[in-house]
Amino acid sequence: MAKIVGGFLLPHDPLVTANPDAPSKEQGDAVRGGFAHVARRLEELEVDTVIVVGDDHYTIFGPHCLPPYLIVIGEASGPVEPWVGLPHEPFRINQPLASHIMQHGFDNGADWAVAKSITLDHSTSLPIHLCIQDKPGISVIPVLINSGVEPLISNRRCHKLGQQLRAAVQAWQGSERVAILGTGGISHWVGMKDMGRVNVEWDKMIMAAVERGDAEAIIALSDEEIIRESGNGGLEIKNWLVALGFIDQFKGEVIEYQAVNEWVTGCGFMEIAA
Amino acid sequence: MSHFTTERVLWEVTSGPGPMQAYMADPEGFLARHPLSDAERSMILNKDVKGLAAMGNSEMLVMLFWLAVSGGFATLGEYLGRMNAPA
Repeated sequence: MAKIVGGFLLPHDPLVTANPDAPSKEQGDAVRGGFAHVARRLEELEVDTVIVVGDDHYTIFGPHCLPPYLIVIGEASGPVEPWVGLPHEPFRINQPLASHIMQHGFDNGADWAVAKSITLDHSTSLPIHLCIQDKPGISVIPVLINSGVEPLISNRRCHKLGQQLRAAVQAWQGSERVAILGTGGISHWVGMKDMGRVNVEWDKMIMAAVERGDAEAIIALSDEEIIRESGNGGLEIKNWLVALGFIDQFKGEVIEYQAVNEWVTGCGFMEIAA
Repeated sequence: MSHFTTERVLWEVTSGPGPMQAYMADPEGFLARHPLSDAERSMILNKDVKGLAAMGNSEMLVMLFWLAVSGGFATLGEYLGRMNAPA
């Protein structure tokens, strides 16, 4: 039976690679160290499959189709945006497990939108490039939830989706060692008038809830409150909630936190484990 | 006014180099293909990002539109200046 071996929360801020010298060297190195730490932990945990949870930024999907949650079962590459400063490469997808998760969802109340072949944006591509792409023994299963474009997926649905992902992996007869990445910045105002602001107090409140294993404290936040206190980008804690639902009885440990105004984002890195 | 049509137009312009170049070459011709009101057309042509955001368009998309038609990240300061301009 497949085994769930760990989870991580981390940013996917495209400016980390698009404009690497914008912040101080100390702050830049701390954030880059956060990605390196996650990469190292994936190896230490002998992970072979990583579910990477991100969100579209009105880049992959459009007004004609806005899936609340989607799983990639076939082919994927990225990032689609040349300005991110990463090579556009194909990713290794664990197709059998991804298809199993899809079917398990169909049979148990998770009506996935499905991508057979997709070009991904920075939200999943950047963490894959920085933490996984150079490790040939690790494949990925990208999952996109709609935390970026209205109408938004609910916090509760995201957490439940993580639980459904967990049930699907635990029902898989393969021997995979599976981890999850919940990606996204904490406070950031993308295109809003406050862009560049970081709400450190809010960010630390979110991370403290994760530390004590309190997903309900985050689920209880309204979208209006999240946007007011942490911007539209702060809604990416919904991506984190998928990961929190995936790890049963989790506790969180802070790896790194940097409020990087030059990268317009509160960048938090955490490990979550049972 | 509904933001459904304007959001579609903003998205189309940002959806790839081809549409963006088509818009830049002939903005009024590009917009003529969509059922926009005069006020909506004017907001897009004048890059009235504050007005576009106020009518309910995704602010993330409004910024992407601005960056696509105004010269990229070097113009972000002007974008934020417009977003923060007094009413």
